Amino acid sequence: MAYILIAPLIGQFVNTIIHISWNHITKGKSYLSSIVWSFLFGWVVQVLLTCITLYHCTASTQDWIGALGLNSMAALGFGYCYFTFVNLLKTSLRIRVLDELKASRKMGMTESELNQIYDTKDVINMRIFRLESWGQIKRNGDKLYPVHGSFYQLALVLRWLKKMMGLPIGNLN
Amino acid sequence: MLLIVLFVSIAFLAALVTQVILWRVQLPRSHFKMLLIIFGLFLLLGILSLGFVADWIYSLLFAQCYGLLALSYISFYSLIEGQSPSLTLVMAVHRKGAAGLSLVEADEFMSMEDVIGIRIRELQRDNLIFAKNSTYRLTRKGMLLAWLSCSGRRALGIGKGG
Repeated sequence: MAYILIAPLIGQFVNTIIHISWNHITKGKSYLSSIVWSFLFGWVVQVLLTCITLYHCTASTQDWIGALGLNSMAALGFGYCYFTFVNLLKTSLRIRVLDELKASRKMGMTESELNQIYDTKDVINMRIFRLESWGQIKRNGDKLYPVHGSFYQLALVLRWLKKMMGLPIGNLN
Repeated sequence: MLLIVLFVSIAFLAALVTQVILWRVQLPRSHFKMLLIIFGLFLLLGILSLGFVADWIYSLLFAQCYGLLALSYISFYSLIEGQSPSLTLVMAVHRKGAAGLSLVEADEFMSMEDVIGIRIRELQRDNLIFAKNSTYRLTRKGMLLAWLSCSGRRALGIGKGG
């Protein structure tokens, strides 16, 4: 039974190793697909381990359904936490500020120095480039056009969640 | 096993409903701490109640599955609470529709936000940086997080973020 407990852990380990290798091989070009495919590999490993354990302890049908469901939920949890961690490293402005302060060592930095390194124009250009390469918007000349991608759907869901929780909607209005 | 799936689902849903009710009554000062308290309480409740009806291994299975779902939700919550520049831009482009959003408009739209200033205030609030003579430096906690992010990026082979 204890093997069922560690199956999602092993699955996540496989997910991480495949994702890191994939990133180094492709130089981080296929960001979203690498996340999805490495998660699926890890999930398959986790399912196989769970099935082998259940087969050896002659479990009932209910146990098979329960254990596979439970471990798939755990694998999703692990996978999402890992995705958040990678996403944070790649896109978080807060983390970028911390990195710049770390690079400045004991000297520290003023707000204007931080703004010079990473001004608003950089934020926009980097975002436009990323959103375009992920197929979320398209650029034609000096104009940006909508594509009904997953980010737009996500923004709508977030706006609804903000409303439901009574949080300020801000620019998502 | 199905009993644990039921326990995880009920505990997770109950924690979510509790959070929404509390948020509707009054927004807490520290959202993150309050979420940890709510989800932590339901974790304890689940472990204790499962302890009465099943073996300890089932409590561990519950704790692992529920704990991971709770952590996932808490990390997703930062997306709900925060103002993501990427999502803001996607929404602005969609509002313009077929007419398109010009790069100048995108510049003006995003410049309305004090992008770095907001982040600096948040980092100060979370005790990750401190100001001395209007110069910002990392606290110990901030240094640890910066070291973790640098190591993570090196392992993943990705450049500077943001």
